[in-house]
Amino acid sequence: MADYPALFAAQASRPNIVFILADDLGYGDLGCYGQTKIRTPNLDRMAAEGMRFTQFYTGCPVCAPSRCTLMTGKHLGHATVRNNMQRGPGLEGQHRMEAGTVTVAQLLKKSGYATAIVGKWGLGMPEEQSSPLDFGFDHHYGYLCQGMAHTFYPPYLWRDNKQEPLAGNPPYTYGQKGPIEPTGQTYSADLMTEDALRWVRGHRDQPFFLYIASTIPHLSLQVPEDSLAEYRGKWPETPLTNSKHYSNHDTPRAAYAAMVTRLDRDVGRLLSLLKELKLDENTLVMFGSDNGAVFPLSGTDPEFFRSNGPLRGYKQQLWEGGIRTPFIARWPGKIKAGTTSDHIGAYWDVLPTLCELAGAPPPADIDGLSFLRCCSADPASSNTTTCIGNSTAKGDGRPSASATGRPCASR
Amino acid sequence: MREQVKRDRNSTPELYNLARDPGETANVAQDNPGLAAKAAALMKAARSPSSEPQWNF
Repeated sequence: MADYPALFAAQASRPNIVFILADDLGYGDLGCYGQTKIRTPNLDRMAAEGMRFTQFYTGCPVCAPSRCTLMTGKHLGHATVRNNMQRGPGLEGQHRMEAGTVTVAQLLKKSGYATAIVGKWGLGMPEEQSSPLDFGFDHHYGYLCQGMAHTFYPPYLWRDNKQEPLAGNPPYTYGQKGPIEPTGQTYSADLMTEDALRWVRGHRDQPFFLYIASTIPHLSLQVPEDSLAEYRGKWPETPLTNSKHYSNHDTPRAAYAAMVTRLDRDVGRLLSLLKELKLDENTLVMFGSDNGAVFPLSGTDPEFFRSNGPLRGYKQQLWEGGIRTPFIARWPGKIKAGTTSDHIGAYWDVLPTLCELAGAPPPADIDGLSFLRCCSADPASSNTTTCIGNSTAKGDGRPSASATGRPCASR
Repeated sequence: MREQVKRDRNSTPELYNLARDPGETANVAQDNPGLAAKAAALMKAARSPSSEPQWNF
């Protein structure tokens, strides 16, 4: 426990960790990051009750490699998955992670955490020994393949490496020709949220790590009526009728906004459950996106929404708009409410941060640096000077993030 | 940053002052050749070969 920071040593039991990853959500898509058209009250409240980072970066401007950096603590010069790549023509699933790859889930599991991923994996399939269960997760429910996640009404989702059919949804195979059916009976994001909430209830008595990899607001633009109703008719719309690979929509702007607000609602449900179970003050919740908002494609309108705020570029580009992410960390009593940090961090810093939190030694060959100290509510270390002063090498000889010369200032 | 590295291993580094220019409108690499060279050297050094041939360039 020599590495365990004094700031958190008083913690009687190790905290639970929930990491929520949105999909293609831009730096400017949340109210707390300047969004004026889309309502995100729960994430805004989460930021008001925690810390909002203004210079946090994803692992990559596209999906799979960004998730790989998050899982492994290695940047794209060293990561095992360095681009989006299907594992084979017509096959469900992406390029696998190499055998022997060490993930944050494995490290936390080894140190006694229950581990689950609910949502999109995108880093390989069970038959290639590259499913979430092969890399440290006790439980997975959701999509294994990014391509299958292009519909929110898929014919099945995966539960612990087994396909589970969804009632009333149209057939869909990744790579099929023509647009995706716009609707079905069972909206995948709702089932995934239910599964995440159920899993938290079932693991309330032990430290847990829950990785919620939502597929919102990635294309296709699909959202149930109870969310769409709030935005329909609010703005001029150009119906989308000629989508090549995604689904069409009569009111694409309303659909995008409704999807983001639905994701926000689901985050609110999770935060309410943590409170109800009295886990609130012993749970660190982090929220970010896998990359920036997508360029205008199949109904998305990032210029109308200013989805990437003042930043240049989109998903797939290394301009700031492709890689800078909204990033919020909330942990009542430990992270000071209403704070903002301009600490420069990236997704490969998440593994060492969570390891430090759990008292699990991180591998020596990672690239990431823990930013745990930047989150401290201790007033003595929440200013620039002290934070730099605190950043001496830890027991394992690796410097912490603030030792890079970049202050982790809070204000 | 460098663009299109897969097509050109020696593509020209670009440099932006995010504090003054968050929208990345002005490439200041020519005004700061030392800094741009340092960034380019870091990018080259900070990588190892991948087992996937398509990711080696």
